[in-house]
Amino acid sequence: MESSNHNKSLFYKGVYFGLPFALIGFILFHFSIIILHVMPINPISIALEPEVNAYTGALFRQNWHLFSPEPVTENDVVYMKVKTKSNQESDWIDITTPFISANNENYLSPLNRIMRIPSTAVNEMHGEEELINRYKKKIYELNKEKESEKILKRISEYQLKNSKDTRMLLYRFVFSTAARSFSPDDIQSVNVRVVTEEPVPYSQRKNPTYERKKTYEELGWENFTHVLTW
Amino acid sequence: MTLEGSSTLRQRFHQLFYNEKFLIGASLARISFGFIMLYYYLIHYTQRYFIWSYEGIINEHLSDKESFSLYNFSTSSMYFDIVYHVSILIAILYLCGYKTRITSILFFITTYSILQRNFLVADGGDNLVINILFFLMFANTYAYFSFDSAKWRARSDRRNNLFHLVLALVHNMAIIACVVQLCILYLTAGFYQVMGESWNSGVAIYYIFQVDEYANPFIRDLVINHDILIFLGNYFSIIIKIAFPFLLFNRYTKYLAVVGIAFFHIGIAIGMGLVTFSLIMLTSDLLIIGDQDFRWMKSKWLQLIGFMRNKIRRLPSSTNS
Repeated sequence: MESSNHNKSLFYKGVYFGLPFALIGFILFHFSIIILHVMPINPISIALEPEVNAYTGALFRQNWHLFSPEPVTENDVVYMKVKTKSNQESDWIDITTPFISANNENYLSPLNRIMRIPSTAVNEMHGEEELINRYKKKIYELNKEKESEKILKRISEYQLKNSKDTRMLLYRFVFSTAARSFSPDDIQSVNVRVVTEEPVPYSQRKNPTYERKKTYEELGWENFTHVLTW
Repeated sequence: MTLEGSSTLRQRFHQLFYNEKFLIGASLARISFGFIMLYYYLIHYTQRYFIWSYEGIINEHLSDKESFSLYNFSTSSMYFDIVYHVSILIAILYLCGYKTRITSILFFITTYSILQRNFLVADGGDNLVINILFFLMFANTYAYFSFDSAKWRARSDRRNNLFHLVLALVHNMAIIACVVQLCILYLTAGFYQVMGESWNSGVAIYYIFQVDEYANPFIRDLVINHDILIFLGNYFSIIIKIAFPFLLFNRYTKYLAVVGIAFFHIGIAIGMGLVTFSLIMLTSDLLIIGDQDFRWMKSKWLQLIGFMRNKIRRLPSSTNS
């Protein structure tokens, strides 16, 4: 191989010796952009945000927060109330707990993923507020108001649409669940309540009488539309 | 530089870039990713319309039209079923390593399409699958345990032509890209953990285990009442992630990284019920283990089997006497 290399064409030698360095260059470039995309917000990532987002697109988009900086600590329990066409209302029905119980019995079931739908929808409905606040804090710290104005505007627009869409997704999940317990032809509308249960603080972990704080959010009645059941 | 020195340098250059490495890990990763996606399609088979079709939870109005997905081209149920079943077939072909160069591209497209279609059931593992499968399209994932492996071995005489050299180089770079991607994942996740107050104060795991969705009730009772377990789990998960890229630089500390991260993911699978997430992470870690390491493990495994067989064979004779 080595002796024959001396007689190889210029093209061969160019590829043989040049391509490794070109590919290393690409890997360095690619992952530099990815680092700017995934690492905590800093002056360079704010300045290059449009370019970084344009490069990553949907294909290389990634997020490695994975229960950090602060992990999920609250339980969001979704309840539904069903109004029939004869104007009768059901009690509030907990639709989260049965999913969790079934999943705990068997992780190798479709419910392992389906269970996530209501909680993800609730988190998405509220989650962007937290993102905006984090951005504002960082922008203040970095004194980068001008560069960040556009980003904040985009996030606000996205938040509004995302919040509306995920609310609708939550309702569609509830419609689907309601149709399993009630006759779909008989359902007129559905109301949704999200009960957020705060954790027991670490300092109170050995206090058996400690009661978790709960907050209630009622999302209101929505006319029932047919969604395939799960 | 002497002629001999130049020749050695060239050999090293060739060895470094043009000798395919990590072939066994890449082949195992192919099988495992194929299996995970096959499991994903089949476990949700009866719920497939609800999760991914336009008659299910994400209707036409709510679907993300900006990102690419084969499922976005038509709202018809028949079209959905065709794409879904063809995707299952492709996952099987990929798992078996049949026409892998083409199948790996198709597998990437179908996997990307299904995972993009419904973000509500997604997790970080799905994100990593997309990132890793993209690079694995350029890698040789069929050298072992595949229909294509015999053909690949038969071509060994042609391995010095430019086309095959470029394929080998691209394979090596693709594996490097996968490993760098993994390092960025762990380093970033570790970074964010360090930034978090509850991770800093060593109680994050206590709080995570209070979320019913992520807490195996049996493990929760065990963990939540033991401060040392909370403390160890909390800081181990930070240290192993941040140390991961640096441990890979040394051959021996690399084993520590792989074993440490494997324990971490097995813990997540059992303790938090994130089964496919953990499997995806463990599968990606296979790409870090070199061919020599796999051969060493195989020889040790065979030795152990031989030792056990001998012990079992001796057992009846000793009891008879």
